[in-house]
Order: sequence, then structure tokens, then C-alpha cells
Amino acid sequence: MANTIGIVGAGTMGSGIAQVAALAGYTVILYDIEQSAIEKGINTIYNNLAKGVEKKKLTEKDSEIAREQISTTNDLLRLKDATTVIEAVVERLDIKQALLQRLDDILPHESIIASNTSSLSITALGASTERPDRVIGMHFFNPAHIMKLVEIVKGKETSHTTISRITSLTKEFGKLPVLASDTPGFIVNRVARPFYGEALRLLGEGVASVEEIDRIVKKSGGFKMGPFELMDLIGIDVNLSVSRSVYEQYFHESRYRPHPIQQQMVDGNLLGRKTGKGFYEY
Amino acid sequence: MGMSSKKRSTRTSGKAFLVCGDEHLIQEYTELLAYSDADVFVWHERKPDLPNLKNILYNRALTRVPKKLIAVFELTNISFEKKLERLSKIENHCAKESLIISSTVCHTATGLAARLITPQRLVGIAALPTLLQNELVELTRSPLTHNDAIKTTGEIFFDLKKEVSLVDDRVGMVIPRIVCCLVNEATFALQEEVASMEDIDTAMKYGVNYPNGPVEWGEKIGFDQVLAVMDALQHDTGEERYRPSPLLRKLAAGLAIGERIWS
Ligand SMILES: NC(=O)c1ccc[n+]([C@@H]2O[C@H](COP(=O)([O-])OP(=O)(O)OC[C@H]3O[C@@H](n4cnc5c(N)ncnc54)[C@H](O)[C@@H]3O)[C@@H](O)[C@H]2O)c1
Repeated sequence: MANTIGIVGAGTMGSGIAQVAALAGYTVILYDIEQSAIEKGINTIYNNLAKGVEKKKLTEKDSEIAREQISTTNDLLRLKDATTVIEAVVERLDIKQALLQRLDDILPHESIIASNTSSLSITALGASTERPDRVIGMHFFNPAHIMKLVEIVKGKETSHTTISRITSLTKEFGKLPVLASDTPGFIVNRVARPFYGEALRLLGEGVASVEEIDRIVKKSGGFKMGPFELMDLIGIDVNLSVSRSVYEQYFHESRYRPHPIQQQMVDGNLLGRKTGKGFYEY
Repeated sequence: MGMSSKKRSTRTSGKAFLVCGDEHLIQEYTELLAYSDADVFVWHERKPDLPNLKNILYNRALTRVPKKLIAVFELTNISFEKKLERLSKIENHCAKESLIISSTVCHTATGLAARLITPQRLVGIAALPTLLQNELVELTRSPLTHNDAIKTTGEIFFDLKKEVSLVDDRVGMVIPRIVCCLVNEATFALQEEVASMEDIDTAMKYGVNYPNGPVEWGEKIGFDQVLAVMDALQHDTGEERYRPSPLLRKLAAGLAIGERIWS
């Protein structure tokens, strides 16, 4: 069982990560508390594998082997021999800490617990276990089976061995690891704040319209997407909650202050593509 | 410089441009303008590295530059003193019908117009190194700018295969403000040891598809230019949100990025 990876949470991220691990040749056990989530997760994986074959990114054989590598369970104890567990459950500190405590009891001493959290402190997650040196962040990007980047986040107590084991694992997954310290927003969600924040302020100050700002950012800045198109894609609510989380965690540093326009859009249920209307209509 | 087409335009043939300002910007604008049929006079204290083309003419002083020009590109961001000095010399030297297209990244067109005798010919432009590689340039105006001046500037860029966008007159305009804030944020992250310079660039290119990593972008733009934009934004808004990171100040002071004292 040396190559078993446990994935906890079969939602958007968990299912994507399970697919990546299986394609890299690992035995994967996918766990969720909801039976329906497991079924949905497995379906997503099978569909994505089929699409991969269709687009000739994968052979039929790769896809078949990957499918065979993944088993599912609603019994957390089945993860007891996993060398690494990656958790991708809902973004709530209390739920994640309770889960980590249980995993800490179940897993072998050397096993690593990695969290896919976008905004919670790895140090705080580690502190809920007896093995904070073997707790680490492994932040994938959505969709996990496509996006190359993984931010590896070292908590205050995370050991060098843990970092190097997870860095190797990330590379075996065919991903590109970067190492970040355990600070709010890690790298991407922090450094990207001005892209949205300044665009919103430019709009609020009447410097240019939504369409014009997007056009300038793409055609004069060389970005693939404008900030408003991108907020509509991400979900204006999701983007606001990331802004707010970084802002709160930095004790109201003004660079991260959210903009009232975001709140107004959320209040109006104008969340972007998913509600059919955001900064643009769909 | 992604200049795909060398097609010559007739609108500018037999005519001339003048380019002056921050060296890096002189180079980029001269190279672009030299693709027209017009002569490009470059006015600077010392000769910048320029392409070896017949229609590029370097001058230490304005004396031998024709008085009648299609347009003068005044591309100073870093020193306001030099900018005003150059603008005043340009106004004295060049005929009234020569357009003055001046960088309004660190100063508003309205602020500059107040210092000019002939503000109706002033058009603001978002001149920041690296931006000319792309297909669009941002313009702005003061309330005194003539509509014809904007129209002619649009035509000049049309001939150079660039689109224009007219934005409200605000320090930093649109893309310089966004990009410089990203670079500044990256230097804060670097200073706080959130990650290495390479990892910050990799993360932004692969995590959110940015065309450049923010640290390498800052290096290409010039950290002194980025600092000038942040200082101008902070001064204009009075907000600490725009304060430059201490590391950005060091980088702007000429610390070679290769030395990486923080790693
Ligand atoms: N969606 C993204 O774009 C994205 C990107 C990077 C990271 N993340 C992070 O990944 C994590 C999961 O996000 P998601 O978008 O996949 O959410 P999701 O809602 O799609 O999936 C979460 C799953 O966790 C399950 N779950 C909840 N509590 C559980 C528990 N105690 N034990 C087992 N399973 C449990 C739910 O049933 C659900 O299936 C979060 O920490 C989020 O911050 C999300």
C-alpha cells in the first residue's frame, strides 16, 4: 500500500485531484461524507477522462488504468494505510480541524496530511494534530486536472522532509510546484488582489467603463482576460470572499480592501456567469 | 518589438516626429515611429541605443530640429522638473500646429495643461516601458485639449497599426496603474519572504495566466518607472494603499535584481 493516496472530499477539487493522482499511477481512495458527492465526483472523473481520450491527450489504456486505480468509500478508516492524504472538504476551519484530528488518529505515524485550502492557515490546521511537522498545504487550482500550478504551503511547524516529499509528489503528478510560506492568500490569491481591486476602483472613479477597462487590460497589457470578465467567471461572490479573507487576515491592510461595487453585485445576486448576469450579461 | 508590418503610410511621408523623455521610452517610441515614412528626431542629453535607420536623427539640442512636426512625444515619467523643462522648450521651439503627446502616467493632462501656454495641443498618453509591444495605447485629455488633437493622435496610431482608447484624466491611467500595483504587491511578497522571485513569477503565470511574472515585468518596465507611478498614485490619492514597498525603493535605486539580497 506504499503508493496509496487518500483524497477526502469528492467535490470539484477532490475529484480533480483524485484523477491527477490516478493518472500518475497512484492507488487512490476517494472519501466523502455524502454518498451523492462520491457518485457525482466519480462521474466527473470518468467524463473528464473520456474527454481526455477524445482530445487525444490520453490513450484509452491510460484512462482505463486510471479508472481502475480509484476506489471510493464512505468509511474514513479505509484510508488507514495511505502514505499521503489530501483533503479538499468545505472551506471551514472547524470542519477541517475535526477531520485532521480524526486522520491523525487513523493514519500511520509517517503519513503526511496535505490540505487544499485556499485561505485557511496551514499552521492552524497543523495545530489540531499531533503531527504539525507532517501537515502541509497543497493548493491546486481549478480545474485541478488541467491547471499546472500547485502552491506548496509550509506551515510554521512543517518539516523539510515533508516539503520535499510533497514537492516530489507534485512533480510526479505532472504539476508545477512553487513553495509559499503560510501567509494570507499564499502567492496567487494575494499578489493578484490589485488586478481586481484597481480595476474596481478605476470603474468606481469613472476612469473608464467595464468594457473599456477589459479591452485596455487585454489589448494594452497583454492579459488573456480582463478583470471584469474574470470576476464574472470566478463568481463575484467567490472573488469578494477571497478579497475579504485576505483583507481580514492582514488586519485591514488597505491594499486588500474590497470595493463596495463587489458587495452591491453580491447583494443583487449579480454573481457573474453562474447567475446569467454580472458585469456582463450571459 | 512585435512590429509585423513595415507597410509605409503616406499620411506621414516627408514629415517629422520628435521624441524625448525617459531613455527606455525614447527607444521604444523611436523604434515604433521609425516604421512610418517620417523622420524621427530624438532629443536627449546623451545618445540612447537606437536602431540604425536612416530616418532616425539624434540631437543633443533642439536647434536643428524642424519647428513644424506632426507631433512631439514627450515621454518623461520620472522627473517632474525635467518634464516641465522639456515641455517648455518644446513649446518655445515647435510651431503651434505641432501636437504635443505627453506621458500622463505620473501627472494628469489637466495638471500639465495648467503649465502650458498652448494647452489645446496637449494629448496625454500612457507611456510606460513594454506597453508598446501590445496593440492598444491609452490616451487622455485635459478640458482644454482640442478635439482635433485627439483625432489626429488617433490617426497617427492607426497608421502605426495601433488602436487607441480614450480614458478619463487620472494619474496612472488604466494599465500602468494595474500593472504597477501588481509589481509593487509582488515586491511586498518578496520582501516578506512569501516565496522566491522565481516562484512568484511562476505562480502568476501558471496560476492566473499573466503574460509576465510580476517581478520580471517590473524588471522589464524598470523598477524606477514602477516606483515613479506608485509615488504618483500615493501623492494623487493620499492613500497608503499605494505606498511603494521598501524593497521596490531599493530596486529602483539600482540594486541589481540578480544580487537577490533577500534570498
Ligand atoms: N473551487 C475552487 O476553485 C478551489 C480552488 C482551490 C482550492 N479550493 C479549496 O478546495 C476545497 C474544496 O473546495 P471545492 O470547490 O472542491 O468544494 P466542493 O463543495 O465542490 O466540495 C467539497 C466536498 O467536501 C465534502 N465534505 C464536506 N465536509 C466533509 C467532511 N467532514 N468529510 C468529508 N467530506 C466532506 C462535501 O460533501 C463536498 O463533496 C476548499 O478548501 C477550497 O477552499 C477550491
